[in-house]
Amino acid sequence: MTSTLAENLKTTDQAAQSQSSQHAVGDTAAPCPLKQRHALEARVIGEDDKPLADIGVELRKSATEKLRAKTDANGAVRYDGLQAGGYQLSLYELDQEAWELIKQEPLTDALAKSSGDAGWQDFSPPSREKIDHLVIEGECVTKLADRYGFFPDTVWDWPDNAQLKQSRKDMNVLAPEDTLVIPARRDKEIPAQTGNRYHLKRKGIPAKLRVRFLIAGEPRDNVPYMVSITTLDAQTVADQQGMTDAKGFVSVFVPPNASTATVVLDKGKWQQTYEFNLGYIDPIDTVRGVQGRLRDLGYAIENEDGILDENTQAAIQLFQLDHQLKVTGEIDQATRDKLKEKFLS
Amino acid sequence: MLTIRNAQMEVLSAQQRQKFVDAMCEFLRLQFKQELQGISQTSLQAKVSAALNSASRYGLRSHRDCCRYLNLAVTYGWEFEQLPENAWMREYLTDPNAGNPSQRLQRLISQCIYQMEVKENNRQMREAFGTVENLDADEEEQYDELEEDELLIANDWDKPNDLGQTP
Repeated sequence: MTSTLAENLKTTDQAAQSQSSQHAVGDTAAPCPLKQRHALEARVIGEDDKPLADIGVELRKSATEKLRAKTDANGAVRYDGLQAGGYQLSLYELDQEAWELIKQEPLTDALAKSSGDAGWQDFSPPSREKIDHLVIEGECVTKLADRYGFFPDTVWDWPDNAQLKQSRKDMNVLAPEDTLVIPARRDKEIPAQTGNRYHLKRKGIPAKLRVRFLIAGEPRDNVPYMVSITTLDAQTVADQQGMTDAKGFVSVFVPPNASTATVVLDKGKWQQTYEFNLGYIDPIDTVRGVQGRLRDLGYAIENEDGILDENTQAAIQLFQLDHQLKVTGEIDQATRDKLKEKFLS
Repeated sequence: MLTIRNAQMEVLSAQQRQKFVDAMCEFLRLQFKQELQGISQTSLQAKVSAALNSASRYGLRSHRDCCRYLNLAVTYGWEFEQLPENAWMREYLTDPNAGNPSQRLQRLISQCIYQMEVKENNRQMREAFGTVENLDADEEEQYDELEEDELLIANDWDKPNDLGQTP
């Protein structure tokens, strides 16, 4: 696909908008021109202030009369064919703490007008049951909070997860077979009037990924980088570029279902490429967790298999030597603490 | 009083439909000059007619929605949503929680344009950045350099900065 194709589709789609939205193909009678209706729009953005697609939005007229839609690639939803007046608007798949109204604005006269009739339906509400989720490899609170419609902190701070939080410390480092309690989802609606556009924010999504680069102990600051993200469902994600900050950090937003991040650092002959599996680091109190951190810190780990073999012990010894720790090749508390400090989680 | 019988309505409807097919052929030829250059008028009419039947199955009946759907058909292929790689498009057109047929189509078109733009922007950015592909030949050598440089990589998910030391 090329920009020419995108431009073509945009142009032809604009041309198609000149066609009637009221006349059906084959119709022999024209619709009543006197039936004036109204519209209402919503826009949803994420933590990075960019549009969020595929968010379920519900407009409710009464207990049994609802309209549901999903945001498009521009984070937008539009409801046509409404009678002038007030309704209830919600991101019905999300918990009350996972979204908020950030502003509202009147639509232009042209956008506020509509025709036809909205097709109200009686949708059953989404499940609100508490779930005990058994964690599998690659899952973390951010990913699971997105999947179940929560703000990540709501799940992590939920009293039922206190013990897990105490043992794992970091919400994005869970171990397979950990149990994360997903609370019962709580509804929230906001009043909405026809003729307005409501700007809503999905909280906590996307998450921020930070990767730090050092060379000979010094931050690789002010170095150009480009980051490409792949996701579990192979969606198309925009590459991001920038310059490392004064402390050598690359900082980018990543969608919650991101599986890998490829960082291309620098240009020309010094360019290097690094690939990271996201959400796949095990807790520091496991051998695999230690192996994963050592590997990402540049120590030679042949297999991340959870076995404290000769290769792993050699890497631990080298790490201990580098950090003036007692060289034992064993995973003692001082080694774990230093490893955690260096890996930053 | 003028009375129009059902049979007459059907004839009128068929005439209206044929008129619309012809208008759409003209519209598409104007919008997709190159793409439709090699297609005869009869063939194009048949394809448009079949595509309108498909559109109807997704509840797309207005002139505008049919026209927008036809744009997709020429861009992605006449039976685009039947292709395995475009299964997601079919889902967009049938998702019961994604609004009425017009809203579903709007969401699909928006996503198509977004994907095209992102792919193109990514291509341009990678090219400007020196393309990852260009690295492949030197990859082994560069990883050797990496070890010599004693490069430290740390990562986290939104943690405060913490200046580390070289391993």
